Amino acid sequence: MSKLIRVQLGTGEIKEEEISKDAVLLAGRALTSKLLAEEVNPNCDVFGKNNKLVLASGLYAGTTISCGNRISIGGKSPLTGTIKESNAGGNVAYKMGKLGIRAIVLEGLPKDGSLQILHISNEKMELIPAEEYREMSVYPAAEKLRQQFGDKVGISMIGPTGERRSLASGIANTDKDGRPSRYCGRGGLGALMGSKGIKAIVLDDTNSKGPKTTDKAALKKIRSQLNKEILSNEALGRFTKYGTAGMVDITNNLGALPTRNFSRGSFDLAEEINGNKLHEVITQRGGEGNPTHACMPGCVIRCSNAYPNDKGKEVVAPLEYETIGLVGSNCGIGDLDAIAELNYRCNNLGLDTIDMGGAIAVAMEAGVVPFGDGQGALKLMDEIEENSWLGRILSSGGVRTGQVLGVKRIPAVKGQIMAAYDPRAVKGLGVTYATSTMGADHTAGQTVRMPIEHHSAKGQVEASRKAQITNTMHDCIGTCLFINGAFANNPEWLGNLAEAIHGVPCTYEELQAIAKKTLLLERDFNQRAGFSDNDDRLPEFFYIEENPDSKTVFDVPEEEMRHLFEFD
Amino acid sequence: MKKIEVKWMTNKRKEETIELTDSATVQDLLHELDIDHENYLIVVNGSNRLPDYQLSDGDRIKILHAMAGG
Repeated sequence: MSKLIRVQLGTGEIKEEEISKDAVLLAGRALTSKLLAEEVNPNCDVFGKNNKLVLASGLYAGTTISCGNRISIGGKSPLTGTIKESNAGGNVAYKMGKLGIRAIVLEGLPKDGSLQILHISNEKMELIPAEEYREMSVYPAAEKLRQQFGDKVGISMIGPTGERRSLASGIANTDKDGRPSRYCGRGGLGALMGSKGIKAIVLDDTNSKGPKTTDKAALKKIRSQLNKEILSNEALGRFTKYGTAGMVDITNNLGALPTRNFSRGSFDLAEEINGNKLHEVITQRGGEGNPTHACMPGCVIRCSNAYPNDKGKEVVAPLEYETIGLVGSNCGIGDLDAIAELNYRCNNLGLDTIDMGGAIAVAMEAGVVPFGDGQGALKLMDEIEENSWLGRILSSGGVRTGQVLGVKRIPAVKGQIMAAYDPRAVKGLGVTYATSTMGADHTAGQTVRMPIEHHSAKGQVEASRKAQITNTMHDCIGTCLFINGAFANNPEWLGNLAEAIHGVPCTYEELQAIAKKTLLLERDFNQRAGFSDNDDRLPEFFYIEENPDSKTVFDVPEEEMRHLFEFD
Repeated sequence: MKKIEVKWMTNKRKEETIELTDSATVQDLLHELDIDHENYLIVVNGSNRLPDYQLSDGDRIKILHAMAGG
């Protein structure tokens, strides 16, 4: 049976609650959002004692089902003011599954502003003073944590920007090899964790036997069939070879690759930063470089990578499409080495690369450094590292940076910078950006893979609706979105796997129903927090400034978008 | 007959001219090239098009592998 751990930071009390049999299918985003909707006042101060940070593992956590160990982290977002769930791969959810933990809830505030580590093992749960970790960057802190608690632990942690409550800070999770680079990046959840005075949650699953799978034979059979589907899927094979960077060519050719602060959708240096180039550089340099790497236990797709410098030493792992789009083309930077270094610096400081790409680009538009100046962008990261006022502004994310610098064109919805798809050229994603309960977020309802004409306004609300339900369903199961294609012919496996593990009936339809209910619960939280349909809009420039490469504006009728959440 | 310029943005990275009948659609082009719509994105003059889209003489086509994002 799974349990929920509550940590009351005001008293230091740690309590266990059993997850009841009738709630066993609520996992991942379904659980973070349900707990927040029921227990957190939507109008609370984000850094006050009434906000909560919730970590939830998924339905397959602790098994080696491919792509089945995403960690969901939620809270009222310091960045957007909405409900928030941000999820990542890595080994944290796997460790939670092994330990039989479905969720960890951080409540209240530490009395004395102290910094602590939450350490959970099979034997004990404890809060440990962590003053020696204060202001420590993510990679050295992770190394020190491994020295303190052992090499095989899973860690969710923040960097100095999270401690400073900077609004673009995320939560880093270790990958299966211990790198603290799998980010729940979006929504400023690192700042929320910082406000709780928790530097790291360390999970040690030594001697843990979970999850107690009910039907091991069924699990083994479906897992094996699923792996065959993945390995025979041509599109997933390209993820293995090129990683997510294979998307650069698609968006660049559709005029959808954010370029120079979303002023256009094609980048003249796109071939310097695309999937082919990334693969070529990694394989030619060799050394610690690796073009294909699994971020979580059991992953067969292996879309992650390790990017080396010209001496073969690892710079960052992974280097992904969204980062390439936001920190690269959106800043006019067509140099993978500079992008990789910027990615590492963001990771090490504890920052979301998407919001930081937005922040650097608006700073470039304001003339702080020129577009295309990779070294100049790195100097901006120095400002953050030195905790200067400019650094504090930048690490507040793209919206605040743009506002302080008087920039007109700020590509964001509900305070959150858009991912690497121009909504004028992938209009279904524009609908998702506008209407998502999470602010501008591509993973909330990704339409770029759907059979629809992306430049046309027609059918985009329906496409976004379908994508938002499917994506939310995967967030609630705790599966990586990329595996969706492998279930195309056998969607019932999604329920069958949960049934084999937990011993309760579970159908695909039920998982869809949980996703829809979760979306409506999140909408209701946001409405209670003061958001309305009037907040479900893109910035004006997307409606009136033509993207010169796609030759389109965003023109999906608002009236149509208002019906998006009217589910069957 | 109409002539269509095709540029492969896949591993092939090649360019070719394809001749199709006057009524040809994207589906006919896919058939001619022996590829399927499920795995490829067909971009006609800068916009992706579905199989039933009617092609015109002189259209410039780019063929990309279909993928999802990151």
